Amino acid sequence: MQSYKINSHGDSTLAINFGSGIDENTNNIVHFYINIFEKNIIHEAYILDVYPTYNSVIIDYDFTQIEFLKLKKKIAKIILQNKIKLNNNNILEEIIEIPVNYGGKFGPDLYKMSQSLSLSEDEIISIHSTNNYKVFMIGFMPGFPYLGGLDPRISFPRLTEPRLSIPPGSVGIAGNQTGIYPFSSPGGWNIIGKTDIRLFDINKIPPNFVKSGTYLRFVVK
Amino acid sequence: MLSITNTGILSSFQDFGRLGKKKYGISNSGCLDKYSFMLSNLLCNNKKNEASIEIISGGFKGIFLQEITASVTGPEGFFIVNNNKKIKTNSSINLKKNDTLFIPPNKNGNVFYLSVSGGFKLKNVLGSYSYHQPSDITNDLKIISGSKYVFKNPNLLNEKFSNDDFFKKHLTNNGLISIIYDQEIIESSQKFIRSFEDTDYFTTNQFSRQGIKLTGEINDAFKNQNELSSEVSLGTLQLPPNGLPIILLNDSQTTGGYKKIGSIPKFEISKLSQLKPESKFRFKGVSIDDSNNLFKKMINDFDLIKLNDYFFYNLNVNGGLISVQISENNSIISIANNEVFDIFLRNKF
Repeated sequence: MQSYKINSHGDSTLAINFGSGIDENTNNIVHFYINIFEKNIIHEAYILDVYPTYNSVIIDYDFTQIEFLKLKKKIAKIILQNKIKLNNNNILEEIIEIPVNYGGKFGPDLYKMSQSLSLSEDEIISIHSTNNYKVFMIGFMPGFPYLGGLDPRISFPRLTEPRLSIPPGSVGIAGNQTGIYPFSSPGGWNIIGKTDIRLFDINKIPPNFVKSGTYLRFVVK
Repeated sequence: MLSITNTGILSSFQDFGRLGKKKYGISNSGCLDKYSFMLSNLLCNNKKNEASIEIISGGFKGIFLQEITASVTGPEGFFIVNNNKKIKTNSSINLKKNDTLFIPPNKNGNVFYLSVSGGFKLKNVLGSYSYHQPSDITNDLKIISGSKYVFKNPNLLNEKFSNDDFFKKHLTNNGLISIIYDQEIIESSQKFIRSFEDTDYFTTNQFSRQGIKLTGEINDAFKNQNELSSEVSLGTLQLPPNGLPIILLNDSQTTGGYKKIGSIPKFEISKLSQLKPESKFRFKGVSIDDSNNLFKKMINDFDLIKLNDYFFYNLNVNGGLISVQISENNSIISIANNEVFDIFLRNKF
């Protein structure tokens, strides 16, 4: 039996916590249960939203329709009825490719990183475009994927002073994280490249180009 | 059509918000003060969730290019039509072609709603007409000076006002803001809760649809923190390493990395968003059950609000103009003379 804790956050959010930290296995469990909830409870009128964080399933609910304790019982029952089955069928089912123009005007911080890390720009590009990155969750801004799996050889600290504006599609590294900016935004990530893919398109259903729980890979354009 | 002359700090279309889109990284948005929002629609005989213009801190001016009933709600005060009519907030008024409506800033609160009978013709974005500040997906729902907005189904109704003390009772600072603490804080930090609740906090001018920064004595209980980014929502109270709380509002990001203490329950959000800078209060822990009961009580009180007809006169007294809004039982709701209007004509907002 998978161990978990159910807590409330305020009057309309319930969190089912499966672990701590950033851990791919925990996040796989989170997405296993996201899939379960998307098949049943999400259609109930009192459920407003179901979404993941690194290690929890978050459920927003309408407290005028269901009390926290009643919902907590229902959730516990669903978890009990759906023992976790993690196998190759529900992991790595989808890898989305993101074509990236690396370096130069597209990646103004790549040269600086290569100097400081004693790696050539090509080596950094090769390392960055080798791994499959798990999309742990979407947040911060619409369509922004929180990615795991950055090779520690190319982890790099944030800029000491954030840029006022980073163009949409910019691919960056901050600490042991890598990510893509869906919108123009201020930001302190080291920009190493840029993709033309629109990560968030309001005219598409769903509007997100990448879904949490899937994987993506950067491809040299 | 409504043609916009001035928007103030931020004017935007809002309804109850865009629920169920956090999975895409989109926070709920929606009206900050749900009750004043609903009252503006009630006065215009609209459905509860009809999109209205939310005006932060006043300073809004627009010209109506066709006749329609409109309403202005929010903190106790007034709005001005054509530089010669002073009308109490929480009233509706019938406007003629080319009438100008001006909502001045107000010392009693921050957030106003302007509704029109039959609503505005707008483009739905992911199930809502609410402007979402942190992205560019709803730019058409931000009110822009010089733009014109089309009425969907313009009506003329009886002019009404609400004399209810709902705003005073529920949306005015009473020195306390409720908070539902996170379980982790309750289990591990009773000492923190005591010091937190013994601290006087003050709202600052750092107030936006994304959140409110508070000031007060610095609480260094979580000076050293290394939090994993996780879910945040409307009402989440964060304590960053600087020891001064931030309360997130409707347009917050959907994930945040500061220490979470708890959440301000929904029934307190309207009051919180109406608090002027430097309002003083303390936090008080509540249970989910208590908070739900207080929410229900507030909704009950809102449902009891009665609307009354009023009459309006522009009198010429000794060559001067006097504007009078009078209730059915002949009590004066709002009165003003030339001097009042002159002040607003002189001051440019």
